[in-house]
Amino acid sequence: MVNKGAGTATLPVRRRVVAVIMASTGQRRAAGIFMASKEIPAWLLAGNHPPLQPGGRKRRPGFAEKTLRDLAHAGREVLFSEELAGRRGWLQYLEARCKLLSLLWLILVAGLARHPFTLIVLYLGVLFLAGLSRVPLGPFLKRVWLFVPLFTGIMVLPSIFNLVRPGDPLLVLFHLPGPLSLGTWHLPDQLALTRQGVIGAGVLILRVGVAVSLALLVTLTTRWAALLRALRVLRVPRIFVLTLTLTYRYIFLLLKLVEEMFVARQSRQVGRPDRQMNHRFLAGSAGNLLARAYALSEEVYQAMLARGFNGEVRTGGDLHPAGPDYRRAAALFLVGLIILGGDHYLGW
Amino acid sequence: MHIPDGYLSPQTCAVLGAAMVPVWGMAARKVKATLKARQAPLLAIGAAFSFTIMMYNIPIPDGTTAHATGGALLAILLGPWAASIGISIALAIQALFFGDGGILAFGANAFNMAFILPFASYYLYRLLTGRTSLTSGWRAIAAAVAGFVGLNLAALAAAVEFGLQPLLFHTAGGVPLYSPYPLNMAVPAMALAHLLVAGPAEGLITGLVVRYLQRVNSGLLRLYPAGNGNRAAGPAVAAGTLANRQEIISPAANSSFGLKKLALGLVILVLLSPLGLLAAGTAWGEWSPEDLQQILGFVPPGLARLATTWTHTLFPDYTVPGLEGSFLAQALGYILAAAAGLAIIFLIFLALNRLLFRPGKAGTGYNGK
Repeated sequence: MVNKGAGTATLPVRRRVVAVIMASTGQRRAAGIFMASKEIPAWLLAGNHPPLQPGGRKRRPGFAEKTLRDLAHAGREVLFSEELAGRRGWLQYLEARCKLLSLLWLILVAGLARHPFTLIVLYLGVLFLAGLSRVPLGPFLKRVWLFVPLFTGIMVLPSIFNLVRPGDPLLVLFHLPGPLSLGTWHLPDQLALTRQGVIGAGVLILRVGVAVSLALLVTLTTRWAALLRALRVLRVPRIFVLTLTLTYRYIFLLLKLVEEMFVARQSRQVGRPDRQMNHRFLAGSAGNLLARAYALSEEVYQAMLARGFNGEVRTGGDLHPAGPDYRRAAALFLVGLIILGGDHYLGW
Repeated sequence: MHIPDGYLSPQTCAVLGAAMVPVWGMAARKVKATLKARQAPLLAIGAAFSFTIMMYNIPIPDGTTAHATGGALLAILLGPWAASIGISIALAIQALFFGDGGILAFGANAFNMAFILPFASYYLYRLLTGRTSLTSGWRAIAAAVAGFVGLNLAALAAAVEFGLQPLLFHTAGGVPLYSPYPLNMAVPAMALAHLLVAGPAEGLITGLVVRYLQRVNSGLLRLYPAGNGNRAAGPAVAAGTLANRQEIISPAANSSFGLKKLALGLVILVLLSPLGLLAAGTAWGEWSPEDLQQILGFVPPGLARLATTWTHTLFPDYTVPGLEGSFLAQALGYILAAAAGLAIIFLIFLALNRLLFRPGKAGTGYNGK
């Protein structure tokens, strides 16, 4: 909840959020027209430069700036993946449901692997796959390894010391005169890195790295519409997939609404608002957004009725996987099986 | 609280995912019964709203910002079942498209944020507000409290999931395979962050929005439960769009049938729970400090302390006394422990239900006939 979206590398992408709404639904023609007129202003997408206060004092970015930054980031992320999904590559040519299932299987393998060596092999395989799919390695690595050490690394850091997790000392940092007890809390007489702690932390970081990379690969190389349709294979009920599709479409509309509210407020605002003002604005914008969203749902429903919706959901344009798709998926499955077998053989 | 992949074992993810299946099924049923065909756009836009609310950075004292989930708000406005679906879908989109929360861990994330959070918030809100008027100031405070408590309960659940990992899944050498902290460390760490930062953010936004809606658009506050007698015929809701409310009020939703199905699902789940025993192999059966001493050569101090101070638990270490021998006996003990846990949860919900929906008046269930 806290620290959301901090694992975001700056990515070189085009800066048009609205285009995504159209692109995701396959209406590229319309997107072209749309793109020219509506853009996120450059200052919104620029780095985190807090506006200067009169008097030259810099201030920390407030909630409004942060919210706007998050909104812009969401748009950029989407564009990046849309662009990659359109490239030619090994995973791009793999049919969506085969890809989803086989990469899900590899994530499961990563989850079940116990030995650091197998995880390293798996990660090299993932990098190879990314290379075959023409995913630019720089941003791909950055996105995974900025996020993983930042969160996972910080989280597991205490666990490598014997204070938290007793074990065989690997490196003694310093000695204390003797074991200390503060109430129920006991301090051993030396502070050391433990072998178990370091290995455990390493395994976890590797595992999270592999799993995050794999999840990223699925979404980077698949068009969203195709991915949503592929969910049907996982026996996700039709109504959920329909809802997902609709949600995905309207997220960008609501994001746009919020962005406009925040920009409007920022442009009206002079000086530093006090806390109560902030709170009132937050409540107002959230409540207003809800009311508008509710009204929108009503309108969408009316529109659906007008177009002949009778409660029956039909998804069209399904492409079926062909021979090469099965072969590729089988290859990925086999690789996972071999890795899992190897992991078992290495034992622990 | 969006748990990424790799922190929880696939076994834990599978169990929590399976726990969500009956909830989702029930939610789809309930929502279908109350909202009929309009469910799709309403849910979709509810999910989009929840997603967007998660983008809001809320200023909290001392200069930092945190973001809320909007889960409590959605639960108060649209009811816990609809909120459950909306948040699940928002979580799915975050996991699939934004790398926020894992794909394997989706079930666990949904369990915390799309089940515990909306239900706890909603029932607490109903309990606190009782029959106060829609515009009373107390409602905003109750909503804030509900948001705060709901989020912290969800965080607590996440912390317990984390904390069980090192006990359940580690190598023979004692190296934890997943999240490395035992319960006595995971729980305070998560609790601190959520009590101080995320919880107040959720409470703040929930309370403020409820207060705002009381002033500006109180119709939205009475959307759920759909059709409370004559109150439903009040002023037009949300820019006069709810013209024919009759369509929303379902006359005869057979809620007992749905509940039966839910109960059946939970029973199956409880019976399946020893799968963890099978899957984890050697890691199980090492619950007692003596065993740990024997296998690891040391006893984690936290565990030792817990084992000595907390002797009055009903089922120590999830095993039933007298049932700690063979695998089958352990499995049986595990089932019993799970059943007891569920029974306690059910009793709490039942008690809340009684308190909220005035006992003695048959049929005042979900649809408020």
